[in-house]
Amino acid sequence: MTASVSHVEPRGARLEVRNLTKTFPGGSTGLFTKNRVVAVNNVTFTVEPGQSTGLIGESGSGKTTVARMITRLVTPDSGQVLVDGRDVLARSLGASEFARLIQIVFQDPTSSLNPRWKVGDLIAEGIRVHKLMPESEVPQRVAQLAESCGIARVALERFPHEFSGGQRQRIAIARALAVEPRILVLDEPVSALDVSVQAQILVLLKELQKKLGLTYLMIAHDLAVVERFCDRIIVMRHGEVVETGDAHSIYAHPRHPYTRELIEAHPIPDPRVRSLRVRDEDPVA
Amino acid sequence: MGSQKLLEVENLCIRYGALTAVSSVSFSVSNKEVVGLVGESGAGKSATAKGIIGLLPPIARMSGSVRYRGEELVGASRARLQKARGAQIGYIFQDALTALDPVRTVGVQLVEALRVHKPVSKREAWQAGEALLEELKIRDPRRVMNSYAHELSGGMRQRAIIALALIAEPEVIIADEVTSALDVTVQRKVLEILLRVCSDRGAGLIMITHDLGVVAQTCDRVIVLYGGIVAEDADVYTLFDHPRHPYTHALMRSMPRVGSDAPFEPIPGSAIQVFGELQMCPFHERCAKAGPDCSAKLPPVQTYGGSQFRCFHPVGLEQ
Repeated sequence: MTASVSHVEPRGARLEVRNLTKTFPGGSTGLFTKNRVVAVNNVTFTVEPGQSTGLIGESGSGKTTVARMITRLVTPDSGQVLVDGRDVLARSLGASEFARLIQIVFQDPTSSLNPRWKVGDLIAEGIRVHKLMPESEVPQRVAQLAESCGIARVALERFPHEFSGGQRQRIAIARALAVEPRILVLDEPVSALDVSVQAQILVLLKELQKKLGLTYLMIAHDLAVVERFCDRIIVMRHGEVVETGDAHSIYAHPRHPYTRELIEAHPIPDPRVRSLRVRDEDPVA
Repeated sequence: MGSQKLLEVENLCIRYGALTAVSSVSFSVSNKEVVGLVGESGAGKSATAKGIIGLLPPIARMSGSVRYRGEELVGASRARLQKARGAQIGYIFQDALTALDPVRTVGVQLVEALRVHKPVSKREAWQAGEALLEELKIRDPRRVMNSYAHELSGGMRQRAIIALALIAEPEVIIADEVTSALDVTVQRKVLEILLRVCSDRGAGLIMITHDLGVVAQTCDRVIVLYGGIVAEDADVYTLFDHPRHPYTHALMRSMPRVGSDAPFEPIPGSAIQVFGELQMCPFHERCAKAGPDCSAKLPPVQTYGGSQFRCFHPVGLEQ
């Protein structure tokens, strides 16, 4: 949001999810009959290049399973994930090539960063693993990544536990960007952070998107964050997509009763708009 | 039905070795009042709450005063605190899964929690437990009474925890981030039930949270903690209309709001840890309004139009 960034060729890619389905073994009704829980049922959506789409829903709605299938952490029963039209779940695409297309930032930067590695090495890991440049050039690239994510240069020689949650999430973001991915899956990127630093991370993500043209898929449960951050929203419930649409219009005119329920349940930070209860003492609005 | 002060906290200080978690925190809770204790991690919310009921770890050093209906609890005997916990001050723990005993049913735990404090038979206690679960809008109280924690959903578990805190009919209830881990729809139901039950019983409720939305929706009075001090203390309308402390002000502006097009306005930096005696404003490094006085000494408590705050440069009151 500061000085004008020189225009860089957007490198975001189109993400298409087609008919993704995943079932997990669940409780059994009898001794030998096993049930399967349908976690994700025939989910289809598209995220346009350079855009942000929010995936919301309650716990158990399947949103995290979708994110995990897109990032190859869970193998779908059926369905496809296409990046610019190319099937990225196909075996023919190697792990290394895949990692350079889609990266993920996890919710809790405390458990997603190896505590025994220095910050600089954490950020450099992807570059080294995928041999993206000669070792002599790595420090400079790491310093550049750190700078663009607001990490001080001295921090690179320190360990993750020496940092606050917000700083750690910056490290996790720099690490994800190190391999120059085209799509970033953000799994609840700010929900583990203190309220006063959440906005810092959201601003950073927005800046990076503007600069690099990245495509974002953000999994979240904070409706206000998603509405403000994303262009489009997908609402999931019980493993299925119940509503998709433009972020602002979904809030203004939710069509599905569940979306409406979600929006109404969101606590509005204004004591004059109390939907939770009416007390005798409350002034009449 | 006048309001009476049930709990008075005065000059509470809590230290863990050199680390100062809470410095001179004062507030009170009356019957039927919902008081929000707001702040981020490390601000001293949970330390304050645990200090009130004497559940701090042994290394903690606490000074100041906590009075329940005028009776001093700081330095009270273990037996006295035991009585206070549960029968007078109920504590609803944050993490429902660890707060429930995994190897005993909800019913057995409710019976125990009641019989510790009240001379009732097991059968009566069981019935009281079932009735309370029904009051908490649990559809099938008998099934929940006979269930173990792992057999219940998150929302059910949270209600079981609330029941445990309420069963001995305390007059003050401390709810420690009770809904942070729940989905919004479930969160709403749990909050509704909690407010209803407290209001029906005329109990005072201390709502510990970091969510300003929850504060706006539930609290009468709000105590904003930062770096272990009360940065601001005001009734909920005054706080949201005219936040005086720059921290409160910045916090409200940094929150994304549905339907607003204002850009995110983050607060730079991150929260500090306080060592030794606090001799400056704990927020001054992150504060846009800070002057040289802010790093020289801790601002005294000031009062203006229904709010109290510790700040040399309160928002909207510039000279």
